[in-house]
Amino acid sequence: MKTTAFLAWLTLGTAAFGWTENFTFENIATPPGMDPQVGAMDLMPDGRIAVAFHRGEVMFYDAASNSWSLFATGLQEPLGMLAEADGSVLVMQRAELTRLKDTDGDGQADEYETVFDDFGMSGNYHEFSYGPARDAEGNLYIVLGVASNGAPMAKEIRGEFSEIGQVDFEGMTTRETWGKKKGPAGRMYARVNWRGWVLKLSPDGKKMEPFASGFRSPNGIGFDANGRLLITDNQGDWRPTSPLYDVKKDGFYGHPASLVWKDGWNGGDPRLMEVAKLDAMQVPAVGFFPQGELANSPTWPVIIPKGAFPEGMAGQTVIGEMNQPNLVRVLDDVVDGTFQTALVPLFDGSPLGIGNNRLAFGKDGSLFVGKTALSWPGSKGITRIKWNGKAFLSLDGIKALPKGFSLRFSQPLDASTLKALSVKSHTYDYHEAYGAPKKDETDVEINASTLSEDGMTVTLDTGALKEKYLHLIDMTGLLSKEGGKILGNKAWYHVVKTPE
Amino acid sequence: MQWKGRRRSGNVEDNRGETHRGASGGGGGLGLLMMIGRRFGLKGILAAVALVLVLWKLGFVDPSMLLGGGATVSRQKVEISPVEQERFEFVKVVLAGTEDIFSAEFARLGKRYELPKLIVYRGKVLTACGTGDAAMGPFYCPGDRKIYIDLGFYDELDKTFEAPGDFAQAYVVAHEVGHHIQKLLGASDKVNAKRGQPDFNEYSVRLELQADFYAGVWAHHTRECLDRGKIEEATLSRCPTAACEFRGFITDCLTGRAVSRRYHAPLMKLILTLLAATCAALSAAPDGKQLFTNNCSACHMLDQMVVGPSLAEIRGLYNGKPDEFVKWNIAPRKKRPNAIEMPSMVHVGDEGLRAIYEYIMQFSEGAVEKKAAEGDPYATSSTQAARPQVMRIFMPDASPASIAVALDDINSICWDAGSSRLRYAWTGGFIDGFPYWRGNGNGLARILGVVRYTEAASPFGKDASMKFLGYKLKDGLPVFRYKAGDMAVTESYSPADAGFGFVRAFTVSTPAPLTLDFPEQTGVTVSTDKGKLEGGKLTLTPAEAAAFTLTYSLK
Repeated sequence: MKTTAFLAWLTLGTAAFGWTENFTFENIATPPGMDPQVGAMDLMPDGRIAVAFHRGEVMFYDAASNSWSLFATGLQEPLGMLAEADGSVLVMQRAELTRLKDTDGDGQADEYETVFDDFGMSGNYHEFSYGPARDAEGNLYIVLGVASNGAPMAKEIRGEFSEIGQVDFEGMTTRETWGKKKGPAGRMYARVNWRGWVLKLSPDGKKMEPFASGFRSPNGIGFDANGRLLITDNQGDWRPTSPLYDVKKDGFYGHPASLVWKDGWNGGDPRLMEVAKLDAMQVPAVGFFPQGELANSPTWPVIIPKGAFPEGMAGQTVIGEMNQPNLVRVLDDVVDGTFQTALVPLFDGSPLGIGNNRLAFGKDGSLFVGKTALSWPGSKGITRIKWNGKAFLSLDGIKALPKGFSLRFSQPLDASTLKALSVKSHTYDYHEAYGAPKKDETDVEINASTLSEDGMTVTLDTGALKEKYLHLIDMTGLLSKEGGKILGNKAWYHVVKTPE
Repeated sequence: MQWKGRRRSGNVEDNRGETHRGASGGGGGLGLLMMIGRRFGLKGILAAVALVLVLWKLGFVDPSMLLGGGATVSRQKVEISPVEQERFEFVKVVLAGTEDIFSAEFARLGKRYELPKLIVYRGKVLTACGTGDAAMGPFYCPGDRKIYIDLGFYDELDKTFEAPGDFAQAYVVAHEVGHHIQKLLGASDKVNAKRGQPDFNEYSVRLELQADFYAGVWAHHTRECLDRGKIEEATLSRCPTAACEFRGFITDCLTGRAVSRRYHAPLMKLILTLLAATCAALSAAPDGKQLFTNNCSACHMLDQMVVGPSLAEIRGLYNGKPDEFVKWNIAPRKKRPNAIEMPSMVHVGDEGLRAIYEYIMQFSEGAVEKKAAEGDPYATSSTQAARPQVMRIFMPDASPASIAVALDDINSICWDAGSSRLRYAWTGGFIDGFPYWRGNGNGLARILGVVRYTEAASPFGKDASMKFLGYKLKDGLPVFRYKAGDMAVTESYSPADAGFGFVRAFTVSTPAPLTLDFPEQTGVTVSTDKGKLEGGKLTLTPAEAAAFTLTYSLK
């Protein structure tokens, strides 16, 4: 008997093995002969999944018959999509927000209506356009990525050119001398109008309001279940690691290039400003994805519908990720009115793989994950993930306390495994250089961990939390009362504000 | 495991011709292990081994089987089967792998790795530690710093586990190399000095686990040529890896019920704490793989150029030149006209960059650059082959908001949504969009034909305020909608009935007579169905402007 038990002891797996026991991962065949890189996705009112591909096709996938039908073609780099109640589809292309309509009822769009195109294009490859997200009043929000100094601007641009910057128009558009100009141009630049900005559009697209600035490569925009406008951005210059933002009107979100388009801007070239000044201006991230550990290039946020995943996750936000083979689940917390989050890996160690660019939940609760690469490391095609209804141990909620954290789990815990919990914290420097290492990484001592009567809530006494620090709560080794392992065994809580 | 073609060690000696008589070892334990193996597989065996380790600590088992008496030696010719010869070569490759990995690891610590010898024998062998017996399985003798293996052990392994794969075969060698490292670093001598003391057995157990840990270091570095399933088998059952992927497992054990409730908890905790400490110590050194994942993986792949060059190419440039590698990373420059310049990696630090270097060199060994596919793999997709076709893409000599339109198989136009106007028309093929699509948009589409007509400004004048409103498709052909000042305009395109050319139909709502600019061009004949077209000016009444058509014939 001892040997068998020992065997069981020896074969305890590492943390990530359990996903396939609770979820199925299936690759969907994409239309033959077509480039299957996915740029945008949404659920249509009739239950089909609308998918926009890299070369501009919009197609509907019908899961029931496992078949595809073509809706539209010829769009340029669609990177966001919103299905409308009447069957039309809003798509964000490089050059404009477009409404695709089938007016003659033959199943294909025959009207490509320009909803909004009043923003600049420098011709630089990195000026991707994202959105739209729609608020409760029907207003639309789009967000515009900035240009990369990996290439100059085109000689012919659309929109306005800003003279603010160390390099003039001639210098910004001359390929031959770009090697000398690219440094002073800035790693990422926003020399045409509204790059790096969130723009708020009236429901008909006719009125535009500059909403928030400071974005770099915001490859994810969407409202959460509580009506917060969430935007993800990518690690790089002025981005120590990839951030998650709760975007509010007139906020500045850290990347200075866009500031030249601020009404009445007179601060000169923003990248030459004092860093402390910029730091004081920026709205802190509500979450950080630690580079190389959780996400390097986070993508689209979607809300988990009721019934799709276990009960405790309903209404939470899931975010995709390009470089790490996982998605990310967002745990909300509000401390004295300040929203902040913990980010938890989802499907780490599963067959999911990388390149997870766009997400959409189907009517049956399946999560469709559209993949892309766009010449960066990534993947292609669509993976469909379905929960099999089995319960498992997960962290379902987190609250910052004056002296520690309260963690709510999906199942009662084995109290003897509480000592497996550990906490670490670190912070980052905000600077122009590309990315930043962890700074001041410290083990945080857990003075006491107490389990609630129902066995599902743990209170960790760590002493006071540090503001502006990312706190890693490592739950590896935690077991449920039934001996089940935790899935998603780490949580990175960004403490913007400590509770009184 | 892809072992053929890899370097083979010159430190393997063939003693299979020597026969020894004398002291004998016990085979009963092995027989029992084999039985467990048949019933429970490799994990069962390992479980049993672990159990024996515990019993050993508790004083029920005496492991000092190696200490035998004298022996006599005679030399004979032996027959070696092809299978056995292949195993012989295999062992050489495995040993060579450990030599490379541990030489590098030792060098990192500023130490020299003294290479062990590996003796392949048959039956029995005379060692500085006494007579070794095949029944004991592979072993390491600290006295002569040699590893001994009878390749028949692999037969047993095969029979017992039904083809456990060469990972298991290689692992046993790596484990013995681990004992060699303990000898070099003084760990085994320290434990030996405890002989006779109450905690000697405990430390002996630690020694075994530490050897497994070193084998884990090897497995970690070798993983790219190992079958995934098999390495998981190994990590699950035996070896914590250098990357401390096993840390979670250790934490489980430190806190888990299984250990604390049923087993000799203090001992297991001690062992596991030691493991965890070793693991932590090792992870405190920069982890090249993790640093690579954090800093490099977004732009570099193993065998193909993405944003930056492949690791295979980097290996070709920097293998054996860590200093140059570090220098480049601190101050990178642009090497390729079409690639972007890498950001400086100065924040990683010299030590970290060297760890990345080591990782890249290990990981990319044997990798071959995949040739980028020639041409566009999706050029024949139904959507791209469709005619007519409207395609938004970066076009030459137009704004970034361009739309390419194939009117039919030979006539195409470029419409500019930035200024709501026709830019040019061409004949021949349509476009090659691959320069744009193959990457992230850092390239223009190529026109597959000859531009025969260009328009310098809108017919409504170059200062007219234009507002693009979109387009409708009529039988696949575009009807562009825009405003020119206050006038609502539609402009639709279709191919000419015959030859090169196109038909351009306008609707303009205007209360006043209208004059539009259509400058004359050589090689282009333009005719109108309404109004008067003279000297490049078309004059229309409001009624004529409501619907008129121009036909362009291109030579």
